[in-house]
Amino acid sequence: MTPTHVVRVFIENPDSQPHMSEVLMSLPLSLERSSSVAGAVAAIQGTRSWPASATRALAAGAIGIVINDPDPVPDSEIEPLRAMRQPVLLDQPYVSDPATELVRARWGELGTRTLLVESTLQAPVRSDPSSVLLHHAALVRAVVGSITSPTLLTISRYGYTAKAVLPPGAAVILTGTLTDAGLPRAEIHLLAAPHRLSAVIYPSSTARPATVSMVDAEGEVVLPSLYENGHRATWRRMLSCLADATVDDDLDDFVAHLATVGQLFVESGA
Amino acid sequence: MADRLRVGFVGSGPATQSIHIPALSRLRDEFEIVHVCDVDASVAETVAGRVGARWSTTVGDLINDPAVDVVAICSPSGLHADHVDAACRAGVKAILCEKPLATSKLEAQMIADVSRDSGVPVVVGAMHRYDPAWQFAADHWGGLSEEVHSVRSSIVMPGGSRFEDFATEVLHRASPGKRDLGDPAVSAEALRGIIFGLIIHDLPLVRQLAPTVDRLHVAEFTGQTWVIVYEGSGRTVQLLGGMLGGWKPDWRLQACSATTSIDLEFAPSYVWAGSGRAAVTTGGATRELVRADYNGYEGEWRELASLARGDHDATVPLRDLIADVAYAVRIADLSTQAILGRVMA
Repeated sequence: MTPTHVVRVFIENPDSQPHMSEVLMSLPLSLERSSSVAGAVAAIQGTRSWPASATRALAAGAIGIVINDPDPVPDSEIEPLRAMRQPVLLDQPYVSDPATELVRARWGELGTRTLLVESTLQAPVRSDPSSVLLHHAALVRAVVGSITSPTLLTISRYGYTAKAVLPPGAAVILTGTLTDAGLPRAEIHLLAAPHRLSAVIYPSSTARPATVSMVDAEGEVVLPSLYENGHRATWRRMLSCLADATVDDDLDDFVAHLATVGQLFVESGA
Repeated sequence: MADRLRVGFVGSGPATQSIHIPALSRLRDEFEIVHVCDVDASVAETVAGRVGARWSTTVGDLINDPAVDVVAICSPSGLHADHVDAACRAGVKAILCEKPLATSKLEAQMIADVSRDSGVPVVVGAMHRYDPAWQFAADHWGGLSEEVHSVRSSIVMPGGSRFEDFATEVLHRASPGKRDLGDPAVSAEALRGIIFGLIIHDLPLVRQLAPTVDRLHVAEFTGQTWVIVYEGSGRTVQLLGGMLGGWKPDWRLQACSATTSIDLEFAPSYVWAGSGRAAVTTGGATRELVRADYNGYEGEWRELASLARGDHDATVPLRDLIADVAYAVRIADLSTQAILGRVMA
């Protein structure tokens, strides 16, 4: 299908966002690069000052913002951006993979009482465990919604174990493992009776498809393989926001997510 | 086949019928079943009749039967220690004791003492220790056992008797009693039962990777799912799973260091699906055992045959059998205390 119009894209600090080249080249009928932010969607790397950069871009006439891998920041810095009521989407590792929405939707449809949520994230040895946990918790929240009583049980240079509760009481266990043995990936397993929904999701650096399967008393269903990485999926979501004139709620989710993760570190003293 | 080892079974319930008799039917050149004992005369007689053995209703009759070379202890867990003790004192050639060997360290030590004093070797039916998948992983993991930092055992099963029925037609299966899992004491005891009845297949393997249980972080049991997290020897260990009613079993043991990971996928209990699958990954490359044609049950019996014939020393020394029991007891004690303590608090 040919889009009715092409959306222009302004890339701030292109060297910090090499993935944008692939996004633009793979969506050539929808996106084109712009040297000006006015009237364009701004692609901004999520380093510490991203809210100020995004606010400036909107003030300069940007029609939307995509933040790549946003660092945690205080709510007070995000608030002015929320107040502008423009589409601001967050491109987050694992969360942005289209399989995440697939899992969330399928689980929501079942309406079963979850008994246990277990998730592991395998990251390279050099990774900062706190940063990995931030991404990990975001993924779990994106699938199951809000979680309560987060507790950091262990954290070291090899990884972490955290526990939370999914209302009304199911345990949520998050394990981070730092290793160079195999590919980075996240797994999430949702256990109910008789359902078991499992997903293995890979980073956004490739379009390696997640594997998502659902087991019940009758058999196993493997959900479609989506050969689309998280970066591209986020930009397609932006196109939908612009076409439908919607804002989406990424910033609200991110503020809630930071509050949850903040409890992890405050309560553990880590 | 005059030199086949002659086997007597103490207890002829589902484990004997679904696991051991089929295992010995695959090892006909090594074993013949000559005596079956059960407190229920009709079960003993029927099971014995299937294999052309004599039958009795007392342990004494069986272990004093001069035709019996080796004894398989498949009685209820609480009787294992007494029955192993009696068989050792009777001077049989070797004993296969179903898991758990004992339910306390004291019992385990007593069994080790009588085994050493009598010279009767004991093999414990914790099947994964003898599964070719575990052997493959241990042969290829390099320095993993020293460098491992995380271990995960996950057992998701349908529950019920499905896999017993895949293995054989079981006679006289005891129906599970109703339990009030809302009672914390009942719930804690049920979790202990899962530790000693199911998770224990993996615990000798887990102990090899994380030899101590130093600090329990989580122990939760919903009646259908469980999760236990602890630290031991600087490693983080997770034991989790569920009996969900879904059709697909998923039994995994995984461990990871900075450079190497192992991923073992075992077949469910009872069935004759060959060994588990094992993958050892280092630097992005994986060596894999797809499947071997025999499983840990057969492995146990092969080990028993070797020991009974004096071919080699025990693969698993007595001190390890004691340590395995102590390890399981510590996990069970800490977990049940946590469940009960949470209610008391």
